[in-house]
Amino acid sequence: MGLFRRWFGGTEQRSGEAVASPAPPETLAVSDESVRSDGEQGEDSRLRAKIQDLLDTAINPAVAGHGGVVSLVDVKDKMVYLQMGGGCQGCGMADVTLKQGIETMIREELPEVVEILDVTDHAAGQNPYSAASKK
Amino acid sequence: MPRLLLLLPTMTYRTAAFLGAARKLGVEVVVASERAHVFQQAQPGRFLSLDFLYPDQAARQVVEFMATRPIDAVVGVDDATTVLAAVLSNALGLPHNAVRSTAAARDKYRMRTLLREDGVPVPPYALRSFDDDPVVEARRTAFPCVVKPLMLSASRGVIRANDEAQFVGAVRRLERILRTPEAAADGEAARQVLVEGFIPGREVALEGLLVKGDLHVLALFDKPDPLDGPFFEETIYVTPSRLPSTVQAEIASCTARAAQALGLRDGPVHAELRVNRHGPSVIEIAARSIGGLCSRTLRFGTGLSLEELILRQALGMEIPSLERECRAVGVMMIPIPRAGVLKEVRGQTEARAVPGIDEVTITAHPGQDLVPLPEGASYPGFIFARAESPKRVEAALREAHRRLEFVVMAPRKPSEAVESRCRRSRIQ
Repeated sequence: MGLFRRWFGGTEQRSGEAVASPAPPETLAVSDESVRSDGEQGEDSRLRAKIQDLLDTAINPAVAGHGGVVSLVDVKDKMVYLQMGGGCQGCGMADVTLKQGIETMIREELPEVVEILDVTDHAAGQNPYSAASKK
Repeated sequence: MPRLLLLLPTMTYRTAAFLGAARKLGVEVVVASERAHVFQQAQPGRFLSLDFLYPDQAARQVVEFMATRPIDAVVGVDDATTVLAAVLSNALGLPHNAVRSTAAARDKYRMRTLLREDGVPVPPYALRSFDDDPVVEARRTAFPCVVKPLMLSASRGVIRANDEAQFVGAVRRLERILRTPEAAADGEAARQVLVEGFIPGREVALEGLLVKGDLHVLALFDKPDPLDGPFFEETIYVTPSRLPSTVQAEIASCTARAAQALGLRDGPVHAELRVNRHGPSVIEIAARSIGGLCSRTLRFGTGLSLEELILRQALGMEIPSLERECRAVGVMMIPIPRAGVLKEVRGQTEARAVPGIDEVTITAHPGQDLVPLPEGASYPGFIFARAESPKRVEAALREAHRRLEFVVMAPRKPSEAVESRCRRSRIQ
C-alpha cells in the first residue's frame, strides 16, 4: 500500500484530515516504496515535516478565516499532495488559494518542491466559501 | 517575467483556466477580486481586492499598486470585469479596447442602438422602465416578444411573451429578479427592461479574437436544441457548425460589423446570433470569451487553450496559431432538472463511459439550491465530447446526459433558507 497507508495509519495523522477524506488517488495507493532509495525517502520525509509546519503555522490559520482547512496527504518524489476541506472544498477561489497563496508560500520556503497537487474532490464540498454561479 | 493583473470575480468558473494558462506562459499573476483573499496580507504582491462597482476608485488602487509592481496587462474574465479591465488599462496606459466600447457591449440597449445605427441586423427593440405600467406597455407591444434585463448574463431574466397577459407576467417576474442585491447593484439599469421582437430561427454562438480590428473566427458553435422560450436555457454547443459555408460566412461578416460598430478592436468576443431565411441577426456581442467551463472544448495549434490565446494577445506575445483542432467538439451545459436541493448525481461513471465523452464535470454541490431559469444563473455541471463529426458529438452529449440522474430534494422552506444563509454568514 505504501506511503498513503503509512501516513494515515499512525500518529502522524493531523486534525485537518478528519474534514474530508475521499479515496486517495490510485497513483498514491499503488506506490512502491521498495524501488525508492533511502535518500529519496529521507528527502520526502524532511519536506513532509516542513510542509506540515507551514500548514500548521501559516496556511491553516489563514484559510480558517473562511472556514477552510488544508491537509497534507503525502509527499512523494518531492511532489506534494494536498487536500482542501471545509470552506475551501468546492470553493470557486480554491485554485487561487492553492496557486497564488499556498504554492507561493511553500515554494518560497522549499524551492526544491517539484509540484503541488490538489487531490480534493471539490464536487463533494458541502459548504464552499464561494460557489461558482455564472455562465 | 511579465506580470498580469487578472480580474477574477470570486464566483467565476474561469479561475482554473486562466491561472493554468498564465502558468504555462510563465506569467506572474496578481489576482484582483471583489473580496479580500485570505492570503492577501501574507502575499500582498499577488492579491488585490477591488470594488468592481467603483472603477475610478479601483483605478487609483491599481495605479498605487503599480508604482512598486509594474503590470504589463489587465484581463477581465467575464461580463462583470471587462469594462473594469478597460478602465484600469486606460489608467495604467496599457493598450486595450476603449472604455466606451466595452461599456456598450455590456449594456444590451446601448449595444443594439449602436448596431442598428451602423446597419447591423438586430431584432426590433424598445427600452421600458419598471416605473411604467406594464398593462399599458403591453398594449403597444408587438408579439411574440422577449423581455430582457439590460445587464444580466447567462439568459437570466430573459422571458418570451406571446400576448399581453404573458407580457405583464414576464415584466413583473423580471422586476422581482432585478430586485436581488446582485442585480440591483447595476443601478439604473436594474430599473429598466429591454423589450425586443422574437426572432425565429436557429441560434449560433461565435467565438472570436479581434486583432487590430480584424475578427478571427475561432469557433462557430451550433445550438441544436431549439431556443424558442418561454425561457432560454443554453444546453448543447457543437462546433464546427453544420450550417452551409455561405451562411457561416454571413455570420462571421455580421459579427465583424457588430464589433466594428461598437468600436471593439482587440481581444476576445463572444457573439450570439439568430439565423433564418432573412440571414443572421445579432442578439448579443460581448467583449469577453465564452463563459462557464465551455472553453475547455477549444484547442488551437499544438494544444493552446483559449485562455492562452487571450493572455498571449494581452501581453503582446506571439500567437503561434489561431487554427482550432480538426475534430468536432461540443459541450452540454447540463440543464437544471427542477427546483430543489441537490442531494446527489448518479450515473457519472456510466456517462463518462459513452464513446466520445471527454469529461463530465458536476459543479453543483450536495446541498446546493438548484434554481431554474429565469431566476437561476448557474448550471449543475458540464459534459464535454470530442468525435469525428458534429453529429456524433451531439449524440454522445445526449446519451451521457441521459445516463445522469439528479437526485433533487424539495426546495427549502423560506425559514430553512434563512437558516442556511445564517450558517454561511458565520463561516464567512
